Amino acid sequence: MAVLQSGASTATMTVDPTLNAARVNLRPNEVTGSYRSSLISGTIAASTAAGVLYTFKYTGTGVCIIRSIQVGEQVTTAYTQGSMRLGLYVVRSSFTQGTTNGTLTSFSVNKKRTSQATPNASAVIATTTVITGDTVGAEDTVAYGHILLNLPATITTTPVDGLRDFIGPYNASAYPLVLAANEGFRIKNDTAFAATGSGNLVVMVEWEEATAY
Amino acid sequence: MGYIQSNVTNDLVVVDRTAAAMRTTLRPNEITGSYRASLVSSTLTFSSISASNAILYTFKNTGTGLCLIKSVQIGIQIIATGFTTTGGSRFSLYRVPATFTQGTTGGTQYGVGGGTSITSKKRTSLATSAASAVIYASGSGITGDTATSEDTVPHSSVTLGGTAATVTTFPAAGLRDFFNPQVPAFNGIDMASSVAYPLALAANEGFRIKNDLAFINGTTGAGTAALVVTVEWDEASAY
Repeated sequence: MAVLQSGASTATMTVDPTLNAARVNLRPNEVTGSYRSSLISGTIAASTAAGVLYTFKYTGTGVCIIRSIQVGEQVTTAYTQGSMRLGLYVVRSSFTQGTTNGTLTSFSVNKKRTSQATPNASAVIATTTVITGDTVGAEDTVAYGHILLNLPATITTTPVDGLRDFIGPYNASAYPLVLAANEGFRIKNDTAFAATGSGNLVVMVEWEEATAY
Repeated sequence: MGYIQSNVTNDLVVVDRTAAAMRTTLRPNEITGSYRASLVSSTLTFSSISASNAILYTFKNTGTGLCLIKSVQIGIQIIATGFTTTGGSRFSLYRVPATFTQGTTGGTQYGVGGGTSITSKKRTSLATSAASAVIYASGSGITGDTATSEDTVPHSSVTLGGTAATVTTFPAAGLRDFFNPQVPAFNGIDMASSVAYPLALAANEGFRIKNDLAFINGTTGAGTAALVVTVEWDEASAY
């Protein structure tokens, strides 16, 4: 018979008597830091062609574990009723982020805990049209995920409430998207924006950085 | 009295004093690879799917191990012309438990045997996937399958709301999952999916997605749209 004692104190683990179940509590994985960033685009113009609206790159030497990628748009000028399909594509190598028509953010804050390490990631979000100037060595042909969004003929938000996640609600046991050094992803509108209307895209990314996974 | 010590360092597991609970972290299952592929049909005239049970998407495990299906999401983007007849859209997913041969007439094949590789690994260093997927590309649906052992009862179904005469998307935002109820992103951790028994496909097993109802009763030329199907899966030698 053994009683499990803590490695840090004299505390011992309890087994509840009715269900004979050991008490455990879930902790985050071993990481150097955990981060979350919400970027807002400029006012993306009507008829903006299919192209790149957001890029994310991991610039560290360990691994970057992507937990959530959420998108939505605040409609500032009503569209001609339409539809939008956003695709997420993983970039596997030789990724340089272009900044033409885009705003670069090299993350230095965005920590979930002040004492954590500074993140090693950067993102570019569109100003008024698609971003150009990226250098992409190898990007997946097949998208990692898609989000469909109605483009409404009224001034509102799409979706009506909240954002939509490319990956889904955080599934704690699922294998995450793991980016190695200099890998990243790009979000593109697969089809052009409607002929009239405009709005601000919201892209929120949650990620962890670790020496290994 | 005992301790649990790491096999790679001298670290000991901590038991929190107040709750008397041992600290644990969740890790993925033992797998050879984890993948996510989002396929989009070409822009099609959906009114040509004038019958129910047309095959719109097929997925097959061509490997020798297991394929653990974690998520199957679907949506339709109306691109140029709305549907002319109001009607509901409901799709069902059927498991094909043995002797599955994927036809490619009226479809585009990706992955093993297809013209485009599925490179959508969740980590570049993972093994290449052994899956094959075919998505609707033309005519009245995909034909040429051999799937005589297919389940007669759907594994799951999903509804996307009524068709519309306007250019829009179904659903209005995001996609809908065959396995999991719609959960807004802000609902946080999907604990149920973390512990649910997954759809586990053995070698040469797969699934097919069909429209339960004639897609629309409308006029030829109406309903110019694209189908989106996103599948997330793990591959493993055992489970």
